[in-house]
Amino acid sequence: MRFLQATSEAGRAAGQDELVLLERICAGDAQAFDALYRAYQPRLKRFIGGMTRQPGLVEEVLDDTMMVVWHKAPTYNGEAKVSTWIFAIAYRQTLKALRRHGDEIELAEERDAASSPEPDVERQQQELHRHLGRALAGLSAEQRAVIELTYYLGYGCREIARIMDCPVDTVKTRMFYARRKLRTLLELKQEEAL
Amino acid sequence: MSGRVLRFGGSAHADVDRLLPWLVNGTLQGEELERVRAHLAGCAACQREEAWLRSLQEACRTEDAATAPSRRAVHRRGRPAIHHALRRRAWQHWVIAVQAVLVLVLGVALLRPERAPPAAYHTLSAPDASRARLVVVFAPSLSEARMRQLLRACDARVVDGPTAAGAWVLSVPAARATPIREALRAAQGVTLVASLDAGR
Repeated sequence: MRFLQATSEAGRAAGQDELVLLERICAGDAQAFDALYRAYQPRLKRFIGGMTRQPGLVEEVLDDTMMVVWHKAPTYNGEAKVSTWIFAIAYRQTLKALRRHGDEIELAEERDAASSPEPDVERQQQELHRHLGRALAGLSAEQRAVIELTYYLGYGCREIARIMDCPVDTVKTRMFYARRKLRTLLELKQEEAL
Repeated sequence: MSGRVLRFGGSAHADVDRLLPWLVNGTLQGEELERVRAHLAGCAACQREEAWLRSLQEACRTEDAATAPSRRAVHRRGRPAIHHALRRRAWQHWVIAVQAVLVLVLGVALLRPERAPPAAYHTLSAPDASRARLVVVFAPSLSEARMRQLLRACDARVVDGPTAAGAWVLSVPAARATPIREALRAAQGVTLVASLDAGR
């Protein structure tokens, strides 16, 4: 492991702690793994749950993810933050799980291309809170991943591209269609409620 | 991804619009941040979009508070399944280690120069506590097939014979020597049955 080449952000205290944990995990230290697991469990559960929208899959994918972390810790090369590396694993494991269960991973963005009416901000904010869960379920797993990584986990565009192993423009595209689709779905939910 | 990847080389408005989510989450930096701020100051549509995206971010975080397990809940639920898997693996490593030691010991034992255990020689006449000896005289008319049938029924083995007098020495299970002797005496074609062992 090239821990000395870790990024400057990973050099912060939390990042350093995680690097130390990873080093200990490389040596087969189960206590270090336990600490890393507990540190990441809430965020990973949220991310996996947000991406799959299937509570029954969350524990399975979480365990798959952490098992990969345990086995692949020696391959971490410090090019990205530890958290970026772990979420990239979680992203891939979630896609795998969704494929195993025959779920749709992508949506053809063209289907979402219908223009939406000009928003009434105040009204949409209320609708957003009320219907967000169901509206998110209408997005593709990849679109939900971008939403989760941006709004819940607070990742920058380039870091998300690293996690999803795709160009930055692809991240922007997924976010663009995710926003548009959310708007459309929220409009529909509002009409249903009337 | 099956869909089109949009190229963001178009209008300044479209370009800024695509970056708004990361302005909202505070990760936009440098030239991009300056450009977005400059555009936002004079664009009502982008301002509305920014407000909506902030609502979306807040809603996402609020949704988390309702669905994510609390730290206490995590601890209450005990060790997650993966820890059991890892502990199982640790246990498996011990099993593998023990197996390896056993294989090694077995291998050493097999590779050592073979030393045969002291041979135990027994003569036919040597006493065997588990067997009793009977002397039996069969009638001359008894067929060989009938003789074999009687011997099998008594679990008897021929130890000696026939002697000059036509007698056979049989070895039978000592535990059943008496009933076997009686059965042979009662059997048709057997003229004499006697025990060769003292006291039996």
